[in-house]
Amino acid sequence: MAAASGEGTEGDSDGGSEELVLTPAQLIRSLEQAWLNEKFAPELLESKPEIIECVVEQLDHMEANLKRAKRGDLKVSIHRMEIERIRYVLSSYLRCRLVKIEKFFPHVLEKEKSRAEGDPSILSPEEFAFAKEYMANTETYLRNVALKHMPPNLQKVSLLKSVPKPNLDSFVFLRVLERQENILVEPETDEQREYTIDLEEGSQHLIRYKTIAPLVASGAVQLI
Amino acid sequence: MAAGGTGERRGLAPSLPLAAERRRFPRPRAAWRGGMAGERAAGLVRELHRAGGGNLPPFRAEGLRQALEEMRALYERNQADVSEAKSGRTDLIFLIRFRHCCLLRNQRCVLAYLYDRLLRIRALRWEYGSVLPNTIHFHMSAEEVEWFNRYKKSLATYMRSVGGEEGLDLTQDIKPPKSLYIEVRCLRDYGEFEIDDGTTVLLKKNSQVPMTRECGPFSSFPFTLMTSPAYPSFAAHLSSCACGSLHMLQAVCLAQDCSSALPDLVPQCSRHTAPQSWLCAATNPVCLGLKEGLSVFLCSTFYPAGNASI
Repeated sequence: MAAASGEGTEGDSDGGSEELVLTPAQLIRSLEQAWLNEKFAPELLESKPEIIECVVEQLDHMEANLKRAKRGDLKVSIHRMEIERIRYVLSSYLRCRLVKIEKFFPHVLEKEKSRAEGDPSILSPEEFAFAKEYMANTETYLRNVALKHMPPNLQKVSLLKSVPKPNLDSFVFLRVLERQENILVEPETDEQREYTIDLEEGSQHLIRYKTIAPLVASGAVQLI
Repeated sequence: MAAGGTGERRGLAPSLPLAAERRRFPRPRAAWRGGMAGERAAGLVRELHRAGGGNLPPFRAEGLRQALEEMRALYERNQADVSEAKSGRTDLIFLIRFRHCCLLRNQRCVLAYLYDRLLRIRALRWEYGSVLPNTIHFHMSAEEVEWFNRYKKSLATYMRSVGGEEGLDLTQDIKPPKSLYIEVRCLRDYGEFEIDDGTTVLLKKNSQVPMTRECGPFSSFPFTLMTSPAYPSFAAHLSSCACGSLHMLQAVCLAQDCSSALPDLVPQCSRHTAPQSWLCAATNPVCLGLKEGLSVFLCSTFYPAGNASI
């Protein structure tokens, strides 16, 4: 982060079409935030293609700079270590997304198909292609090995119903970045009134994922 | 005495009109020989569940076939009974419903068995790389192998598309990097060798050299890693590929007069016994330096995946 910006890499690492211009340090921080959110959220979050693109560009810059640098310089090893670390975070983030895509593939594809025009996509184009191939692959396999040989009224199986959905009611730890008011903790039932709280900035909570899902998407809270 | 004059009397057979009974209440003939419905399918699931820890037991084609056969027989019986029920035998409806439940249960067990195996095979790609050890290969059916190949291909396409021109191999970097260098000990005198960043290294027998994990393509210059204390008499010629992962080219027996090279996939020197449990070294799908088939097996205590250090 500090080392990355000190090595003479470009100060702005935007992919050219961003409204914000991020310094490398900010870029790495947003990558780490996206990584942690993805790790702890029970469902697949929005895809962040700009961050990934910028980070990859950044890594290439750093490698190119290192090739030119004086040999034996202490900075070289430190920067190399930094490159390895960033690459690990990026790999781990993408791996986490792939695992979730494979685990919930019918639901992910269904959500993508039924999203409205303006809504952000949860799958990048490459991930979408991967998810479709995975689904086609699995369906073909199950059909050829088992379903084809079953009685006619049982040959169709709805993967959407059989594959388990992500559990949105699971509890997550979060840290509040922007103050929020009136967050619903328990909905109103016959026995109890609605229970809402205000989230103070900087506080940490353990709460059900379902209610704070939109806050994660908007960046108002950070999962930890 | 029995009513129903046509009862068969065989010597000392009981005098109840069994045949007449049978005609009035025909016992539904079991469509399967011995055993409850759904037992075979449940047996498949049970066996898979018992082989825990992500292991892949052999594919039970016979069990699957029998479960499907059972479903077919149940369905046929149901077909016959449905037409009978429509013409008035409403007491059969419960039986039809029961058979339908059996069919649904069988379908669910069979699909669960196949799907769980697919999940385990998928995990194997991430653990072992593109080339699976032969022992595991034997446990997979032909269609599973096909599924695995298609999965590999779509994963490789995805990895190539992310992260720049050469793509980002997501199966590497499973653990956060602890150190930059790997210690490599040379077991043979090699001489001077130039690493990617220009420095030359003198490789003498028994010298130890720290190298970074991405030492550039030197697939034609094998380096040997010291064996772990558990297996002191064997060493592996490891070679690093352009992608940065390590592949084993050959195992070598280090006994005094031996040093016979072991052909790959047979980790057993004929004169000195070799460790039995070898796990596959990771192969990289975008690896360009070595042919896929050269990846062999290394004992897991030999080098931990990723970082090889002594």
